[in-house]
Amino acid sequence: MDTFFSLADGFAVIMTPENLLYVLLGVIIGTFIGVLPGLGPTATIALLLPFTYAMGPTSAIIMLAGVYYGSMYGGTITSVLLRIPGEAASAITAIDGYEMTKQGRGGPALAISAVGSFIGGTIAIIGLIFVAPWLAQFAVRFGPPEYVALTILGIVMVTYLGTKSTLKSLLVAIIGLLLAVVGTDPIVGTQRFTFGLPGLFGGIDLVVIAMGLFGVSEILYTLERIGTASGKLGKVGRLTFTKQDWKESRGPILRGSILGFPIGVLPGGGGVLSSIASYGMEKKISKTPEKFGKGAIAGVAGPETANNASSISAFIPLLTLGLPSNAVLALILGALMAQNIVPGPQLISTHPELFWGVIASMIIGNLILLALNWPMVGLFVQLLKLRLGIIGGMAMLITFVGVYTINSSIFDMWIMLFMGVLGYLMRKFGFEPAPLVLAFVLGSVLEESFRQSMVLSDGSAGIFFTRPVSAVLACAVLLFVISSVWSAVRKKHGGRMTLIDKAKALAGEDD
Amino acid sequence: MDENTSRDLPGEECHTRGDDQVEAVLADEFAEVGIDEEPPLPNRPWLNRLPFLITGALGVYILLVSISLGIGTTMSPKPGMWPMMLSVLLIICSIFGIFVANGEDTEAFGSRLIRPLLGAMVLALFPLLFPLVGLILTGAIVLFLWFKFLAGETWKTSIILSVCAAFAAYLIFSVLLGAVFPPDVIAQLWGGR
Repeated sequence: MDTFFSLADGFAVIMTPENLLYVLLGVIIGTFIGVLPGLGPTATIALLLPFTYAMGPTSAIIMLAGVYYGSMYGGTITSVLLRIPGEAASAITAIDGYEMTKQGRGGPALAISAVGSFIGGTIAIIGLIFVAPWLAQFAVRFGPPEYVALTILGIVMVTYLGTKSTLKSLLVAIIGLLLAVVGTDPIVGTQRFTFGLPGLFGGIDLVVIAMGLFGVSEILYTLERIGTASGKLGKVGRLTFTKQDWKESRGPILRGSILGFPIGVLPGGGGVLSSIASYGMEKKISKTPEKFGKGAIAGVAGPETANNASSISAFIPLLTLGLPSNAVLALILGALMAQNIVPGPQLISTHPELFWGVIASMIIGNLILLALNWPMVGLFVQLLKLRLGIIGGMAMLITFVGVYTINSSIFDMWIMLFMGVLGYLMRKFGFEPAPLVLAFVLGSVLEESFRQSMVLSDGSAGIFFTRPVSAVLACAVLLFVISSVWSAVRKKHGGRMTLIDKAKALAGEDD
Repeated sequence: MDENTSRDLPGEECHTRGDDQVEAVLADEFAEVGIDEEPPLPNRPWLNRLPFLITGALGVYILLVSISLGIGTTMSPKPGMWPMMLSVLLIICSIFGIFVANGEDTEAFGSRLIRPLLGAMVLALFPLLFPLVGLILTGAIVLFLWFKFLAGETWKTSIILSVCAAFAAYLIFSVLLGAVFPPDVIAQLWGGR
């Protein structure tokens, strides 16, 4: 009953004209950029961060969350109609979705994904309502050693599950942690790695790094692809589905929700992994697996449901443990920290308006998306006529102006540009930027917790292995590290592209 | 089953047959959108190892700076302790990388690289011009160069779009949102700032 009342309070928070506007704005921007090729959700959220500084924390996070799950809907549209996934999580939908479009059934494909996404999102929200407070209660007892082990496990799992090369991602994550060191030492006050530059004394701003690594580097990356043709628009057909379609889809939708939810909670899990897992599962248990790849509606309904469910459940570790599970959530964490809110087990009790407000906004956001998708698909598709070079130029202007507004600093512009070139080169060499941002966000708290743990234990690292929770977490870290070293050694000669690589390459994005 | 595939799908979601089929379908997708699935890896050992050499060198540099910052003991760590630990990890990973690098994720560095490089140079104009002449002129110049020479738009489109976008940015950020920018030489023509 408490939950019910808290949720009602959450709705009271959201039902102000201002906050409703932010939800609407978030999901519309999200759908737009999900449709647009070139700019992914991470880059967009990076570009929007400076604007959130002027809002209240609740407004900021509900808008950014809207962008995130809105982009999942938007990506579907281009996957189904053009076989161009706007973001990686929808890549798998392109297979059967586009086949359906070729058969003149693009409408039913879009309709079933909208309904599936809505159901998946709703089930995930219900799961969130019950799991998050329980997890927070469990985590309240965490001290610095548990926090250190948990954070390191989170970073290691992101490098392990969510990226192409574990070793490269690990290196990138360490660099992220080192970038967090730049600035004034939080305890003693010594300057560290500032090279005497006053612009670095206060440390580097997350927004500057994120806008460079995701915004500028993605813009530079689009320059390579200018002139590559976009697909031919297929016939949409009516945006409804038949009884038969529903009969074939309800199973995949239900299973997709149940599958997507836990995968989203895992650090490094999220949309791509859950949609691929759902596709694999549906194909495996289908009575007619030969239909997959030839326009099976189950191959659209399952993955679309799963990726939306996982994009919602990914908020659980962020809101209860302060642990983001991917780059988008790392940026949302950054936005909260900039407002002096550090998410953790206490968030639900200290900022209930924020926690329940975000949940209520998700329910409303999903309803808006369902309502938007039907009438506006035609309009969204028109966006595809925009040329990549023009989108890039406009994004570039917003990036530079945006980064200046944070600190009125030209120096920040240079750092951002440097990060942009670095991010571009990293992509070229197969280093993904996501672990860097994630580690950077967690870096300073991790260092502080580590130092506190050392004080608690009189300088013995044994503290991480003698307390039960941190011991389990620390062992998991070791397990992941050993297993990835083992697989790196084994695949030294002639590695193959993984499923995730392919999904990402199809989407033309790298985060 | 390919070990990579099993690595990407955790626990129970790991189905040999399903994965192979998904992979086969994805391979078709690749063929159709024109992405080579597995281009032959060119033999360029230095290029593949270059990033690891750089991170390794960076690690050594950080290690030295950390030592000069003071390490302290684990009981009373000094500011250099944490970066020292990270730099040691960085060095270990880099050495490991030098040995296992095979360039599998490294993209081609073909003639297309020139455009992003030019792009970065055009972008560098922004922080150079912005403090001198303000938003409108900087935005218009940089956008024009971007549209005309990098994105290959026509003269007409480039000029119209860049001028309009620069003015729009000024109106939105400076007038509407009240952000404070360096004095704008164009806006001063009609008494703005």
